[in-house]
Amino acid sequence: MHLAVYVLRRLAYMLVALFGVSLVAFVVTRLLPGNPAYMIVGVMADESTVIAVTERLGLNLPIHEQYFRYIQQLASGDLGDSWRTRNPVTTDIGARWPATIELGSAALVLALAWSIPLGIVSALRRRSFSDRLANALSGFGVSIPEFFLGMILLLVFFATLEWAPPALGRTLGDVPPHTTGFYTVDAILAGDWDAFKAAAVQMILPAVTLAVTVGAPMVRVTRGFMRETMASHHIRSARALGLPERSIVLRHALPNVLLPVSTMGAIMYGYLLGGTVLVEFVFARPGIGKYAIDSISESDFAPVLAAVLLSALSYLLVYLIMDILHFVIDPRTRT
Amino acid sequence: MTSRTFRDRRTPTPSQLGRLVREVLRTPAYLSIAIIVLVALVGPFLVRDPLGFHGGTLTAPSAEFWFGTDQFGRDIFARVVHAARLDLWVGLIAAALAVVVGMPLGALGAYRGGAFDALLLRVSESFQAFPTLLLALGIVAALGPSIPILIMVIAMVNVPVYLRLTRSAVKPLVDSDFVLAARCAGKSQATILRRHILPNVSEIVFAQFSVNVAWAIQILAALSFVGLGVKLPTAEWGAMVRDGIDYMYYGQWWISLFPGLAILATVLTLNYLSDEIRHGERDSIGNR
Amino acid sequence: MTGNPASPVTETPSLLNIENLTVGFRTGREVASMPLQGVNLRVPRATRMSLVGESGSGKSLTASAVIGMLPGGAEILRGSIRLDGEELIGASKQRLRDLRGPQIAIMFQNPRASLNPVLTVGGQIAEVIRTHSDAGRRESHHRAIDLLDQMGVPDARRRAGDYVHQYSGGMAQRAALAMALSCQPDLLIADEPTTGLDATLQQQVLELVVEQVSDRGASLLLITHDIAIARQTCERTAVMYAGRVMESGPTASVTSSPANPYTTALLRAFATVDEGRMYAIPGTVPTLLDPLAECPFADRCPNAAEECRDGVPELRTIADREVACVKA
Repeated sequence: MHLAVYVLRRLAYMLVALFGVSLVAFVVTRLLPGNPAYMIVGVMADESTVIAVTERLGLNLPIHEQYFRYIQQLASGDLGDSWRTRNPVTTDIGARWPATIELGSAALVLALAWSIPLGIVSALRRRSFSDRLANALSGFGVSIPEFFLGMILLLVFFATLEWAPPALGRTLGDVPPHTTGFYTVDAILAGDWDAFKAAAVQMILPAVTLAVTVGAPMVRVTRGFMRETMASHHIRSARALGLPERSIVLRHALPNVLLPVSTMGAIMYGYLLGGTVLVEFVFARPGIGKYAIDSISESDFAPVLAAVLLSALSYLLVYLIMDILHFVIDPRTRT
Repeated sequence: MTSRTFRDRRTPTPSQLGRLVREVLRTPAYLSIAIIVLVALVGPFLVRDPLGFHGGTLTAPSAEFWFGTDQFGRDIFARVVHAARLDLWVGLIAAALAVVVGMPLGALGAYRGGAFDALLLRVSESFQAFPTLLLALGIVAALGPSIPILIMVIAMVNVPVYLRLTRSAVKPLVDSDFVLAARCAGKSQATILRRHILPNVSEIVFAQFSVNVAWAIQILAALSFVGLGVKLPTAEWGAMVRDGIDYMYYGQWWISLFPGLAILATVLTLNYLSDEIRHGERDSIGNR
Repeated sequence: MTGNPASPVTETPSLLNIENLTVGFRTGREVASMPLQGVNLRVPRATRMSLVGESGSGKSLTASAVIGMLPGGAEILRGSIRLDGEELIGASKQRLRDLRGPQIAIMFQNPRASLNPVLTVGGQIAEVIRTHSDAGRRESHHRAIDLLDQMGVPDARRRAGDYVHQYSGGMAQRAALAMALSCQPDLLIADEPTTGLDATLQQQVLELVVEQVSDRGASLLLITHDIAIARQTCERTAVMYAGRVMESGPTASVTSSPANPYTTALLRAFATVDEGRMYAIPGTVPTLLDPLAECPFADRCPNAAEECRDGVPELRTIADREVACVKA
């Protein structure tokens, strides 16, 4: 298949999926209790004001027309306004998404760094210490709730050992001048070492929390694929021709394993970029997830919808990019 | 012919029940699920009232209050035990509902193919892109947190798992010779699905079931943790972890710690149970 | 036990000499089954030999034991495998690695699966060459292209850069043969090399294997269940049954005047397939859970007598061949 055809087809699927997500999310948010018009004008406003606002927002229209209006807005890049923050949602998200991306990226790097090597080593040495370790760590990481792990880390490293700072947002130091929105990157760009440290230190525990929970299933997947590959005919053939073990593992087996594992990594990254509600909540980090949950509990539905769409979009986009990369890298798709 | 002495090594057991009990006690996963279920069934009758005030507030774990008391003077041990029943019930029912909906849909999709299958696949793919927790949170916020709503929501986010699992397991069976034979014999679609296809995939589905009960419990706990799960003051593990969050780092760690450990232990057990089911099957098949 | 029991046959030094090879599968500490029970097999130099038998007779397991790659759980309980006089049982892993390629090479069934899907075909062959020689990157690639060319892969220079999924079944088999022969092995083991190929391709591949092995003065151990293949490719044939060699000798005489009733039955089964009728050997193959105590074929043999039950018959030299049957 031609690359362009492939990409176009995938983009079409992506649009369909986004359409589905927006529809479901829209219906759900319209069911949230409370008339947003009241929330905007306040309960003390007179009735004519409420009616005017209701009509301006189109809340008196049938739901399918409301959805149609929403899609039209969306097409012009307008995500609506948040009555809670009194900002356009795009502004709010612009301020919060960098926090999520920064944390998600750090967590992904950490997760890959521990899970893939452990998965591979444990597959090579069955029933060894590393295999048992992999079993225990992945079992633990899959089973512990993110929010509880975050709290335990805070209990140990902040409350008891006093190594970590309290979980109060993105930084306790100076906010570096805005270039990328990522505090750590901006601090490096500004050459402000203290600001970098202050921002990085706020990120360590949440990133570790996510790295444990996201890395755990990756250990299992990596180990599974590695075992499967090592038992395959072509590895047996390579062994039968006397190739050294190092080449068998690194040159013959590893590429076959990294292809599927990278897909899994992409899925995880998509998930991380969509905002990790619970970890942002526990560490009071003002990212997309925290924004969404604060908005949900106050029936502020434009931000909720936006967060859901953004989350779905980042998942689909990362997945798409990974698929295209595979299409280019994997010789089997070439003809 | 050769004698069979090598094969019949296992000593015969007096009764099936005795063997089962011994099997359970030997395998850690079975043993600990047995304990958890026992606690959930019998525990609530043996402990204090989970909602009652029993003395000092915020007292540390002691011989009298094993897990300490919370800010309202409630016995945390009693609450953890009571919550076991609730969490397990919600997890079981939600996962079971998801199986009941997802498995036939997935099987039907694979069996019928065509537009119906394509639609199912697209819908479940959209679901995969959906931020599960946000979806669940949104629906619970919209419809109001009550136990039946929570169960429905948790079941709903679990349905695509079974749908895909069953679909991919059934797909190769549909073209297999024994299904073709059944078709030729003039059996109805429903009969073929029920008698010939579903029994072949049920093993995989039930290994997954244990994982999904665990997942359901995690979602319930997460929903309660952010305040959109069970209503206060109901004892639920996630809600109890939330109750203690303001005290956790300032000395009264026990309020959140014990319910959190209860979630961890239960979910860990259910996940290992699933491994056990899968490996047990593989060993009995792949024993050369 | 790697001693040298009284050899029943001629003492000409053979390339591969398997004596009394016994392999068992263990579960825990106990031996759960013994699929090879005293295999004796000799492959002379520059000779093509086939190892024929039904599935489960232990042909492939014998090959795995020779290259030192038994499946998990399997273990050599006794016996000796000597290649060019060198004992392979108990040899170090490094020594075995050094031997694989330049001394023994093996081609497995399903050539497509035995080539790595994410590495180029030429690159894989070149790596084998580099592993066992001082050849550099460029030279090894040239040699890989030459080999593909010799195996009849058209446009070898270009095809060397392709991946295995771009090869047809017959071409993949040629590439697998090129890889196996890349270090000029003295012994090529081919384990059902033509299974899954259609009749024309099968013929071409077999002819190619024979030609290449003969040109190089190497020996071939061809493992097959098909006596017709043995007949058209190999000078000598050994027949395996129930983890033992039942009869071995020149292919022509083994297949025209079998001395072991099992060989007779096997030939009859094949002959009737050709004539469109079916002949099945009555009875079933013994399960090999325990050491054999009698001739494994005694239960199914039309000539079975009392003496067949008095222990397992050893291979005896009779005229031009060896036979494991007390009545022969």
